Amino acid sequence: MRPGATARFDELYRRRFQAVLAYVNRRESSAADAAEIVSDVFTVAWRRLEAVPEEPADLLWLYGTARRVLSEHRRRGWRRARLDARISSEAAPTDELDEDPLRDRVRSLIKKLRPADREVLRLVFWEDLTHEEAAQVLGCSVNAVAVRVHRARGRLAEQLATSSPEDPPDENALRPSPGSWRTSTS
Amino acid sequence: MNLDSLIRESNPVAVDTLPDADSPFGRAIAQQIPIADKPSGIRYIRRPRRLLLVGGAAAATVAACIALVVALVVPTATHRGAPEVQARTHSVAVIRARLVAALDSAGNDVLEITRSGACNSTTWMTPFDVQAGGEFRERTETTSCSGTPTSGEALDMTVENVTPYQVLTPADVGNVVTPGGPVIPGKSVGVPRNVGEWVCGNGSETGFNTTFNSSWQGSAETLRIGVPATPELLRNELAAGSLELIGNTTVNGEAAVELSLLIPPASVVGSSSSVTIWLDASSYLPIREVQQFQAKQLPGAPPTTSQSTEQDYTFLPPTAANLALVQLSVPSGLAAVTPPGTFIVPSCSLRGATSAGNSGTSGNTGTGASGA
Repeated sequence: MRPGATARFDELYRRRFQAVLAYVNRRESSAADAAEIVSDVFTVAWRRLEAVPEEPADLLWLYGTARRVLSEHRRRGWRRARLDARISSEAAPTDELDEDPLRDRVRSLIKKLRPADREVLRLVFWEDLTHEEAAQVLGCSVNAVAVRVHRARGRLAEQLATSSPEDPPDENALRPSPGSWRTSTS
Repeated sequence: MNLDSLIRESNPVAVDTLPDADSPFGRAIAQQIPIADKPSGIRYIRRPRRLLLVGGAAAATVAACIALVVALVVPTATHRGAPEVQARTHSVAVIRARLVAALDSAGNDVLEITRSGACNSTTWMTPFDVQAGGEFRERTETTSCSGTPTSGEALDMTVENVTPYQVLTPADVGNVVTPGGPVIPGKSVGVPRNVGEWVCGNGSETGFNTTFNSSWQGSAETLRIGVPATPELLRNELAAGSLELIGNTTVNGEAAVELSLLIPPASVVGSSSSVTIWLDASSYLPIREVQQFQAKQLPGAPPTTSQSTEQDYTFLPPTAANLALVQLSVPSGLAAVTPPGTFIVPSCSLRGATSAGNSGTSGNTGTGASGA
């Protein structure tokens, strides 16, 4: 046993459990798999504890690990599609509880984006990461993140404007906000 | 509202509404992590050290084969914190497969269900595995604590369709949390969860109830009832959570395998629920099930409560004697009356129903088999 490793892992788990759970829940509709994925993420963290950076970068490391674990789960086909439909309706009622049709549409359209675009949008807007932080999670350059965000926003805006003519978004929705090009908050 | 704000607000999961690491859910996940020590109250499962660390590749191969054989032949299980857990993953997988196979093989059995919470409430139903297009018979009888029958019902049913129904877990009553929004106390909301199946079709019923000092019988064009513990429901429960092998134990003096199903919480509400199932160690059929609901207490919200329901299962072979258990025996001195009208539901349009748990049979749970 590595001296202090258990205490450090314990502290890491307590501090980051909710964030990792949120990250996984935002991407995994199967609640059953989400729990397993969170467990797997922290299992990797335990096994590679020496590689986990100190706070606050530890969160980015966990996000990157969660991303790979999610990908691995899907690649291996662990999800059971037939059962997922049932489980999702049981334990992931988030969408159902949201009565705002516009938010539902945005969420739905984000799901339809290309995986790379979808992930970068989620990291920047849902996980609230800077472009530099998202680049660390994705293992790409900051410029690549900026390009992806720009491209993803454009596609989302385009789809948002055309997907539901009876409920068009505010025209301001098509304009980038002042903070949309930020690359770092630090 | 600009696009960036829209994207941010479309975030389906607010972190602060999720269970934290010290919640039952957080601790349950922690138990899945293979770490040796038990720091600060969070328990972690001790898993076997990598075999390659113990010996060479040949030894590892031999050991793995032995572990696999043991897992296939003997329902190995250990308790939390045991020094070593051999082939734990294989054991869980094998037990899960055996449970599903056992449920499949018990489809024509007479299922006896006894419930806690009343002095005695027992349901018998056969065949156990209700299928659309098939028929089944079910009888429920309740007795007082002194052993006097208080009510009894029997139902013959031709099944038109079977649809899982859901209820909001009661632990969440009183808490409403909107995504990213405030807690709204005083309203009911919860985690939709399958707790039974609606069986819809044509049938007839008979029964008695000492409250009215009478018996009743009649027929209905269309009925729908809640059926507990069908194979599909149990399969759903298996699928709905991470299966954890807790260990070998005994139930009513019989060897049993204890399994825990962690039901992940709804991301918004933040409650958690768990199901513990005990399997007969030889047949792998469920013999007891305890469902527990635990709410996340939110600031400003009314106090939430936990709820636990318990059912014991006995699978009886479909012999003549066991099939007789579903025959209603109305106590003498009771007269026939018309069945309660609330039992009759004029429609079978249940496909796709997602929240029918508190509708349809209001005022009467039909056979008393209302699920969890």
